[in-house]
Amino acid sequence: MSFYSLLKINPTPSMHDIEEAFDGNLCRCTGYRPILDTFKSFSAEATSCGSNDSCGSGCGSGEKKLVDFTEFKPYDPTLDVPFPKDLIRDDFQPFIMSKNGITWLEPTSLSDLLKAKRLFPDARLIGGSSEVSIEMKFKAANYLTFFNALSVKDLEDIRVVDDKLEIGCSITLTDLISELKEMTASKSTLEHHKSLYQALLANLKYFASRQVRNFATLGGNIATGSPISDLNPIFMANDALLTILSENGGTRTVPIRKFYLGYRKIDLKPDEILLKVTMDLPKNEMEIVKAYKQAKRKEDDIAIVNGCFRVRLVKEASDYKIDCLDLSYGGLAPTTIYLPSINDKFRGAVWGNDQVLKSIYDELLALINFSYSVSSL
Amino acid sequence: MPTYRRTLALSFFTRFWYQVIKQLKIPNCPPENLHNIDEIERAVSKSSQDFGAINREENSDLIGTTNPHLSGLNQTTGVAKYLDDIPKQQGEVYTGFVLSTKPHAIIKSINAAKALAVPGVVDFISSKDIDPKKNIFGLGHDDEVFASRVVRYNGQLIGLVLAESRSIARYAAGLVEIEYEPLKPIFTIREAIENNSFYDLNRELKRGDIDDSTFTNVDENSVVIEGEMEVGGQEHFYLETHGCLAIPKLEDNEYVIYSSTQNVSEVQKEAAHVLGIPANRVVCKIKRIGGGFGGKETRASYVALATVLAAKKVGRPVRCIVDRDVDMVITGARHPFYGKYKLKLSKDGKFQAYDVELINNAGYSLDLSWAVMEGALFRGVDNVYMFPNIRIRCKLAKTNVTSNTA
Repeated sequence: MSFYSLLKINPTPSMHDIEEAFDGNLCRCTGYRPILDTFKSFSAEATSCGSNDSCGSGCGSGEKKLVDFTEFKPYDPTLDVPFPKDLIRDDFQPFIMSKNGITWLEPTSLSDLLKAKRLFPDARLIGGSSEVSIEMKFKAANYLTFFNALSVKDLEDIRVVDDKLEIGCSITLTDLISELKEMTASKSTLEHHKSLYQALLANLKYFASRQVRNFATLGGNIATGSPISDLNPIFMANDALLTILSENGGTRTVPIRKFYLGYRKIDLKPDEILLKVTMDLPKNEMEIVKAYKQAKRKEDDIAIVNGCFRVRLVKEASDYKIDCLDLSYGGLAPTTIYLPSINDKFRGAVWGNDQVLKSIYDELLALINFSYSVSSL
Repeated sequence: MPTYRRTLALSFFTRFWYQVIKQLKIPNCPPENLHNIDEIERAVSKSSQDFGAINREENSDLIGTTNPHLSGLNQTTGVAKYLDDIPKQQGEVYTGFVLSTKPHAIIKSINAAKALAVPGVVDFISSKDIDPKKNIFGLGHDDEVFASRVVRYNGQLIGLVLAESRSIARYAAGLVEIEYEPLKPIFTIREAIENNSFYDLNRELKRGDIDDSTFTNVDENSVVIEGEMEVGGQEHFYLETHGCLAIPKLEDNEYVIYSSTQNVSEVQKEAAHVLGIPANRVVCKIKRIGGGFGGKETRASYVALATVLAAKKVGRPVRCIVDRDVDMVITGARHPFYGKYKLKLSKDGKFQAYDVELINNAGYSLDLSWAVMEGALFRGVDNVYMFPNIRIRCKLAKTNVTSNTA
């Protein structure tokens, strides 16, 4: 299924595309090699054995193989089962569907969504349901009313306005990745802005699996408030502002550093929705953002610890002095944490000085000195 | 874990520190500090398999040749049918698990009234519905299909709610109320040692001349190496979880059982026992399983017996497919081991004597823990080596965790 969708989107995948499309698929019996080999026959980069270069084991030298791809019938797209036309929609109409006490709402405009949120304050806003389904199945949450967050197209925009990056909260992570990649590759993008895009891409690359990223939304990740969210440290380090809307309360903004009140507790009222995240882009090449994640395995795994750091340096004589240093971590506390005291204490310190590095270590050890095991969920 | 997390926090910052130095070309940094600080990305994999070593046309012998898996084509094209692909049977009911939420406790009461009141719920089965002699299974005859008086691990099966649909069964199972009187649990091998909690199967395997003094009388020509080590357990992670479909044939008190098992004859034999009928009245079938790896060697019975007893009670086909999270909790994994060793060698590196003590964490019931220990005893400890003097002593820890298996 993963491969079928990949071919639907991209009929001439690269070897890299093929492997990436599989990062959420587990094999327990045979091993990944024969599976990947089969699919590599679809890639123009692959030779008949699935290897993309000479490996010295006699490949391609005319020796017998278990499977000879040339014996296969060529892929014929006309034999594909067509995607049902009835399921393709371009004009989105709002509707409500209700059965057995469960109600599904598809508001297609922001004003409808806000009204619905006021009328059904207990309803869950669903993007890919990658979190809500877990709550329902494993935590016995008994939700009865749902909104489709993906049906409101106004919430999916990503744009740069006045040196700020704005991302709409119902953008899926896969779309966010492709937009960020495009922005990074674009000639019109300022070089120092790329630092933030690349930090986001670094952690999005290993965020869950492709299958989850295709549906999971940015807003869902923020609202879930997981202490090991791979994105929240980036938003925290970059002092992101969350724009929140409700029908009665209008618009308000909250710095994400103040949004998390406790373990999975957020500053969001039942009738409110998250509209967008806004972050300052790096101001010059002396401002650098990087993000990190460590999990038990790279793909398809939750972080043990993740983090994002932003530093702005100023050059005085031959010294590079810290103008601001923002450190944020996930996996060390019941919420993603931002460490303001690092910024306060090390402003003016010299980057590259070993003594400064040692003092930052000491400060970090003092700040993250927990004596009990931290929940990894 | 807290130490590891702190270490990670510091190492992330270390990488950041040097990455910034590298990016801005800040001078006076030793170049070795700038190596290997960037993310290590896995490259696209490369592979090849050479089937050219033996000419298959000339060689009629199978040895040395590679042949496609018999059902490989069916499996890769989706034709292959697994247990839950069997269509719904006429009158079939589905199971919802009522599991122990305590690792060790006396069951004071079981109240299924709220579950039975849910529309769509057909029945509830627990140990009360079964003759205690028929509630027993397992290689050590120490396992209960439904926990009767005491629960001995967190996740032990107490009962099944039978309902018209999966979602109703799951929901209603959550409404069954169990009252417990907690007892002290033992989880790890170390706790078992402290509490002297073992199965009565302490064995010793010995050859040559060896006792405790062997390792204290060390002259200048020998050395003694000693230590201890622990190996963690491992979930089998078969992709198809445990499952069973039990169909009662009311005509002659016969049963057809489809079980995702590596051991159909054992399921048949044990089902006949719990049902109290001859084995020839029980037909156990399985076309294929989606992975077993030892995890379905004996523990498939656990699920199958509960399902077939439920089928007997309601007189309707019963389907029980264990969700992954429940599967991991209720069925055993591979054993955690603890070992202590003393090895006496001559100065030129020849083995003189080897003394090993092994303990595995068998869990709440015996199951295959002794067979697994035998494997360690006969194949694991001395491996391919010849030890002139060897002593292996072993114990099976009796703990309040799931019953570990093959």
